[in-house]
Amino acid sequence: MKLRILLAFALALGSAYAQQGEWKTYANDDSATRFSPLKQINASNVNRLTVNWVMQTGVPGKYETTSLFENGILYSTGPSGHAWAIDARTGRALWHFDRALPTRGLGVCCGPLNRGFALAGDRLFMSTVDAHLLALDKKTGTMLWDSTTADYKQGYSATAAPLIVKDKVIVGMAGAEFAIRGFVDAYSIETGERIWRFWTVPGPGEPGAETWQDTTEAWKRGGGSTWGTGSFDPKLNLVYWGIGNPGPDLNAKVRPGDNLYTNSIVALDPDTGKIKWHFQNTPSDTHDWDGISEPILADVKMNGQDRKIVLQANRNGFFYALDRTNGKFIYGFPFVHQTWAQGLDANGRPIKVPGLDPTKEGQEVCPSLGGGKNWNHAAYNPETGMMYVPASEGCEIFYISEIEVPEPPRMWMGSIHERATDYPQTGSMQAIDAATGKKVWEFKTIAGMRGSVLTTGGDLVFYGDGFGYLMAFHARTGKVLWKMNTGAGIGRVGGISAPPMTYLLDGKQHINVFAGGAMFDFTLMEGQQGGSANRINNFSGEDLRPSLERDCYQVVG
Amino acid sequence: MKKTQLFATLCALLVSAAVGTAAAAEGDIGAASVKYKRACAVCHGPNGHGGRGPDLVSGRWAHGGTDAEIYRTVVNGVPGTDMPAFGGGGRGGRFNDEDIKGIVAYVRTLADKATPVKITGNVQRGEALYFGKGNCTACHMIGGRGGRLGPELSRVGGQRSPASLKESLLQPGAIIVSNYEGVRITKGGRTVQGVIKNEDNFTIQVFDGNAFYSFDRGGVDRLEEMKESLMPAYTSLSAAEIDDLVAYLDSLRGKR
Repeated sequence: MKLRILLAFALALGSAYAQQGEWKTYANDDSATRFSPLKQINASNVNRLTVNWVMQTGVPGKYETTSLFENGILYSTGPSGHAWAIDARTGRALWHFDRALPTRGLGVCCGPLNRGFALAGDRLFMSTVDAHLLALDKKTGTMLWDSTTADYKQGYSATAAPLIVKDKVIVGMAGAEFAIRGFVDAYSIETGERIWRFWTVPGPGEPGAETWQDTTEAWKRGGGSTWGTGSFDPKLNLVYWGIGNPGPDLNAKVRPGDNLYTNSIVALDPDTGKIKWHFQNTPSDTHDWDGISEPILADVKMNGQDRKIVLQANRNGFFYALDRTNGKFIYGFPFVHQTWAQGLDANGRPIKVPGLDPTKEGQEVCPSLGGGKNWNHAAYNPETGMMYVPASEGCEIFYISEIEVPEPPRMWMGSIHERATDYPQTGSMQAIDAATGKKVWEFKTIAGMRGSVLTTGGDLVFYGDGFGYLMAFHARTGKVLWKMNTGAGIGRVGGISAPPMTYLLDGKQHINVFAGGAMFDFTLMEGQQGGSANRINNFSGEDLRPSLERDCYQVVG
Repeated sequence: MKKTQLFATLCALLVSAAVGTAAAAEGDIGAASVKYKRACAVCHGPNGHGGRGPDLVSGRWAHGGTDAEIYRTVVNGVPGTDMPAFGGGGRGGRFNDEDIKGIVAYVRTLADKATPVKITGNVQRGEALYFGKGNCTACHMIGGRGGRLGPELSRVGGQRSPASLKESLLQPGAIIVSNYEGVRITKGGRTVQGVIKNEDNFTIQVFDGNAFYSFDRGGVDRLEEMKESLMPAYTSLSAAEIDDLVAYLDSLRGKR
């Protein structure tokens, strides 16, 4: 009996250990934190981080995926319908899935991207740019079912990783640039059958329909894409999702009103898809400021009280903390330079500066169309209480043009835009105290931050930048402790777009990220030869000797 | 800063723009003008007067000037130069057939609007100025002669319009070609002034006309990106001398 109890205890411990070292959901937990408690790699030894292996996929395109890790195997999607299972010990592919995509008629604004798998039991789930949801067998990569979420010929597409909630696969879609009506769907893990759909733009007679004050049935093509991945609070039984921009993106004349639930965070009942509350960040948006940024769930003490909050660094340039039980506004502030709002009122509604909608002559507004933060993910570390936000500064000139509803899947922006030329497009990594909204540290960059963040129990923040550097910050001070140029830098919107992730295998912690078309896996160098990674990566130009004198530049000379 | 924006704009097209950028409705000159501004203006100038890339309004076409030839150049690019291939469909930031036809049509409208500057100067006098009083060889190489700090000019007459050449002589900061933005860096009491050849969030690579330098940003005492060109404005030359220089530069077609 005693032995049995001990055995059960050991098994329980073993399972907790394994669980701690695995990365089985898109953001490593349902709260979308991108936090891992692993701390074998930590602030005192991260300078010994070195490349373990590299896997070149051979598939061109932009990689925005977060790999999953379970039981020694990495599961990754790539662009253009590709996916792999990879032996994490060697970097060798175990299977390769290649989805045939339509050669014509796809309405995708930003390329045939994909951001990752969801995993439940023996099944993997992925979206495809032709607006399907697939279930694959994780051992073989064989497709188990293929559900059509919407008609790609009407402008629908899908790029986000699904979210598993109980017995359902919950997934968003993309396409608000193509005169569509957005939704969040839930499908049966078992059969692929659709269980519910939440339309992000209400139809006539539904609550919220009064915020579409037109006579042209603008709701039918009102946008509201859901191209991020949501979060889930099992105790409150609520799913949180960020909703994208209204359509047409930049011209509100055909859709007067606040345009619910575009540019909002919504809380849904995962069993029924019914909306429980909403908070609209940008009513009647005219700058394409999708509110799809991940809603991060955190439990914090505010003024001595335990609060369940949801945090979001929004594309409109404001950072928000809401009570996630009811959607009530707690605080908000601009985390980048912005010119469109005088501030937020007591309910968090923006007080808009009048006259800043796009014009025929062009109207400069900050932040840019890409926003203060785009889809690229922030992370929240419960041990430091800080959220780490990759922020982008910049402005844009927005123009308006005549409205003409196009035949799908033509793009329907309602206007054009171009980068303002006199405002610096820079960026910063910002550490924000979740309880107070105070900025604790900031690391400034010469270009916008379009990569994603991982934070760990080792007091570390990992980030891959647009020049191809993977770097590690001290989570409490912002000091750069390690960096490596992966060679993926192909410009300020290229470089490393995929979020780094971490896992434990054979007792060793790994850091893993896609950079360019290759997956890089890192571990600590054996022994105590610190700084080797820096020797490889960081040719030092700290003295003023002309570099021609040094080996590294002889090729140039 | 200009370099940052130009580079960003180019890359936004070369790489799929995940930030949600998108062009306007298809098929009209207005939409084509946006595509031109986002893809082409970075090198060919907002009005087609050239810059890093050739002038598009002078009527001189190094790779053929018919619509079909220009179309082909846009689709395939020019190997061995900075001109990338923009063909390959509407995805991933590349252009489809309709886009490129629109851009060709838009380029034609630029040429229609351009007011050509006639060559009134004297080529021989301009050459003498270039190698003598103007001291242009200090920074610019022609046919293997001259300095390396500024752009090589052996083909500049085929790349830039006379109006653009004149502008660069009188207002060198009007267009600063990528990789020739000035920077001044001080470290440990020494200062390097040169042009930025590359940079990232941690490092910057500088060329002073003679040697390359590579700095960690965090290790320098002062880093000053210069708003103006390193090239002086030749306002002390007479109007006639400027015209002579323009005539000489315009004559440079890579045959020397």
